[in-house]
Amino acid sequence: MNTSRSSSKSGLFLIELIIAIVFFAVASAICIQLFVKAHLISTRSTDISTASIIAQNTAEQFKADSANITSGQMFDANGNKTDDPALAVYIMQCNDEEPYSLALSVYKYDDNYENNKPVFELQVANYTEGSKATS
Amino acid sequence: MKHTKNGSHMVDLLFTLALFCVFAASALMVVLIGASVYKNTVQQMDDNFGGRTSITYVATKIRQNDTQNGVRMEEINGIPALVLDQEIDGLVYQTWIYHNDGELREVFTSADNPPQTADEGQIILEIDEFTIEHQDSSFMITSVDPSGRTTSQLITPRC
Repeated sequence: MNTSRSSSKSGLFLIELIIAIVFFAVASAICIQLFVKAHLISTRSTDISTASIIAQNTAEQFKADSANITSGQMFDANGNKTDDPALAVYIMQCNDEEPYSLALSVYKYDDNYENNKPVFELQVANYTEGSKATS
Repeated sequence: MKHTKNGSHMVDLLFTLALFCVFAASALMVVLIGASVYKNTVQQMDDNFGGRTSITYVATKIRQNDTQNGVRMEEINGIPALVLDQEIDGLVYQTWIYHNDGELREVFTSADNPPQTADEGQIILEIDEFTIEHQDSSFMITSVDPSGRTTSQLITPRC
């Protein structure tokens, strides 16, 4: 009688523990999903911030000297120019088909970056005397 | 099979204890992951703030005062300072922006009464390193945040 009561108690505790673990597993799965999302958003925000600085700097260079812009320039994690692919985190492509305007696209640098979506895009127009910017 | 005094299996107790340990370890792991993600997010926000706020502030000031000869570099006791001229009701006023002793400072004064010492300025924000250089027709603003990250911004005045 005593043995059966003790066994029943232990069984009840086990069931209670299993229910708690199942509840915890569901809650922690949701939490980890949220943590991953938060991390991705935070990383994306840093990328957009750095890419916008890269694009703004290039736009200012274009304003100062429009002939001095090169497409395919690589940048490190802080947005500073680098020629070393091992340090490159971002790469900038520009399309200067129009004489007084420039379309800038900053990508995360990898082997296949041209097929990815740009992190930041900027359309620049240089309104100098006699120019007719189209954008 | 080993039995305890009251007849239940020892393995029952061990299994329950092991399950409880797994539960506690998992709970701790989730808390640690959460803390790590929060720490990284705050760190990245701080870096973005430290790196960009000072630069954006000065860049906006330059664009605000972008008039003919309205933006130039001068010195206060050997400290390079950005000077922005502004005409109000026929009088010329100047805004002096400079970095001194880990602080970005600003002085707004009339043109005939320029600041004499670097301590006169009002503190805008604390920043480890901040430089403004005049390069040809542009200004290069560089800041270094507490984590050592360098951010640079080029500004080309229109006038």
